[in-house]
Amino acid sequence: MQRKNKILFWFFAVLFISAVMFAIFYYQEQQGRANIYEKITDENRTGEQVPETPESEEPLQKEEPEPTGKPIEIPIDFEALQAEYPDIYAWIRIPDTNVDYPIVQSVRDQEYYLDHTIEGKEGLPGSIYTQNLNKKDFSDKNTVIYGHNMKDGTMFGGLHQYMDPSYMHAHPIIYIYTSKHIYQYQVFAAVTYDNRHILQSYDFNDDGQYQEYLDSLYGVRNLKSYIDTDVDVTTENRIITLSTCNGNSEQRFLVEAVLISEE
Amino acid sequence: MKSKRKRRWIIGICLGCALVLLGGITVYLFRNVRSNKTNPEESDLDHDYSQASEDTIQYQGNEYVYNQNLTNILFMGIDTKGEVVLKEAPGTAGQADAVMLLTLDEESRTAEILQISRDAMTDIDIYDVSGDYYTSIQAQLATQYAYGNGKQSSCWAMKKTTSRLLYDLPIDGYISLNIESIRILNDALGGVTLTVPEDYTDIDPAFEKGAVITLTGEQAERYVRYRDIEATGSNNERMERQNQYLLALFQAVKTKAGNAGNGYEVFYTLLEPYLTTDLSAEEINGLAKYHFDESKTEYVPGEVKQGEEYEEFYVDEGKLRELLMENFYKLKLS
Repeated sequence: MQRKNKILFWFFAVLFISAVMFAIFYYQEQQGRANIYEKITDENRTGEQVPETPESEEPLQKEEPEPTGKPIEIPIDFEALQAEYPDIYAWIRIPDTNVDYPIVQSVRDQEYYLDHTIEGKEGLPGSIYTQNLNKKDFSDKNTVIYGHNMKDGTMFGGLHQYMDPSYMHAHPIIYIYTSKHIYQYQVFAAVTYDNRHILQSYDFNDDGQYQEYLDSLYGVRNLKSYIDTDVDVTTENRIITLSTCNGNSEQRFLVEAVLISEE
Repeated sequence: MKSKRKRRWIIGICLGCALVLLGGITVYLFRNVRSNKTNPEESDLDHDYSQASEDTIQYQGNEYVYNQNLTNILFMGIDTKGEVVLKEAPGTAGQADAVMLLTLDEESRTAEILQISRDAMTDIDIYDVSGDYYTSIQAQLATQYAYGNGKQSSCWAMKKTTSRLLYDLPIDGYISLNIESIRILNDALGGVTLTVPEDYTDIDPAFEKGAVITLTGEQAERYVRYRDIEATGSNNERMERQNQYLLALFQAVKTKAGNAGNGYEVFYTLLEPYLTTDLSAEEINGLAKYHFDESKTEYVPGEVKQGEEYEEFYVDEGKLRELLMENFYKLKLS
C-alpha cells in the first residue's frame, strides 16, 4: 500500500515538474521570438514622425490615386531590413495602435509565416504576411494581410477593437509603406466573418464577384461588427483586408480599408 | 543501511533522467502538433491566444457581455386580413401588426417592453409555398409573418428576422395572438380599464383625453387596431396605444387569475384558436411573477418615410446600437 502511494507520488511529481518546465520553456521561447518585432520597430521609428490623422468626423475625400512626380520620403529603411530579412517587402502602420510591423511574403510556402517570425523562428507570434496570390505592389483590388490575434494585443491582437464605432472613428487610417510608395487606406468595416479563404472564394478582378464580396460584408449585422456606411466603397476602389483569428475555428475577424491616397 | 541509501540515490537519478526526458518529449510533441496546420483561415494555432472571447463586445472603449439574467420573448399581434405580395411571391398568413419584445429580468423580477415598428424596413426572407427559402428583400418587418403557415413557421421567421434587426439579440420564445382575440379576452375579463392619454375621439367618441374608461371588446379592438392611413407616422401613435392597452390587459389578467398562478388554464380554451406560442403553460403562468414597468417602455429609434405604397420606418442604427448595449448588455467584469 505504502509502496503504491510512493509510486503515485513520484508519478505526479514528474508530471508536475515537466509541466512547469514546459511552461517556462514555452514562455521564454515565445518572448524570444516576439522580441524581434520590438527591435526592428524601434529601429524604424527613430527621427520619424507619424503623419497626423485627420480628426474630423466627416468621411475623407477620396481622391483618385495618382502617383506624383516629386520624390517621397519613405520612413522605413527597407534596404537594411531586406538585407537581413529578404522576405520583407512592405510595412504596415496604424497610428496610435500596436500595429507597426513589417509585412512578409514567402515564395516557397503559403503558410510559412503563419507560424514563423521574420527571422524564421517557428511558433507564435508568427509574422504579418500575405500569400503570393497577392502582388507585392498593392495593385490588387483586394490584398489580404494575415496576423495572429495575440492575447497581449500585439500583432493583430488589437484589431478586434474596431468593432467599436468610437475606436474606428479614432483610428481611421492605415499606412502601408513599400520601398517606393506610401499608401493611405481608410478603415470602413470591421466584420466577424466566416472562415472561407477570401482570395480563393472571390475573383476580385471580376466586378460582379468583387461586389458580391462587398455585399457580403455589408450584410453582416451583429454587435461584433461595425460598418461605417459614410465611406463609399465600390468595385472601382482598391481595398486591403486585415484578417485575424476570432477565438473559434469557424470565424475570422476582418478589418477592411479602402485606398484613399497613393504617393 | 548503506546500501539502502545508495539505492535511493540511484532511484533519484533515474527519476531525474526520466523527468528531463519527459519534459523534452512534451516540448517536442507540442511543437510538432503546433506546426501541423493547413491554411490561415482554418488554423487553430492561435485559439489559445485569442484575446477577446467570442462573446465580448467592444463598445465605447469598454468590453460588454450579454446580460444572462434576461429572457426575451417576442410578442406579435396578428392581423390576418389581406395578402402580402413581395417579389411576386404571395404571402397569405397575414401580418404582424404589433411587434414587441418582452424582456424579463430574472434577478429584479421586472419586465420591460421594447416596441418595434411594424413598418421597420429590414431584410425579409421569402419562402415559397413548400417552405423553401427563395430570396430576401427589403420590406416592412410585419410582412415577414406572411411567409409562413400562419402558425409556428410564421412565428419562427418573425423571430429570426427580428433578432437580426436587433443585431443578433437572443430571442428565447414567442407568443403570437390574433388581434381578433382582443375582443374575446377583453370581454371575458369584464372589460379593461385605462386612461385615454390623448384626444382619440376620431376613433371613438368616448375616447376623450383624460377619460378613464372600461373598454368594451369592440372598443378595445378599435383602440389597438385603428390607424389613420392618411396621416404619416400614424403607426407610432398606434404603437403607443397598443403598448398601453397590452399592459392594462396584462394587469387585468393578473388580477383575475394570475395571483392563483393559473392564468394559462383559465384563458386557454378561450384563446386557443388565436394563440401560437413555443412557451409552456408553466412559462406563461410564470409571466405573472414579473412587474411590467410601463414608464420603461422603449421604442426602436428611427424615422418614418412615405414609401411608394406604404409607410416605411428606417431604423437609426447608431441609436439602436446604443439602446441595445444599454438594455441588454453589461460591462464585462475582468
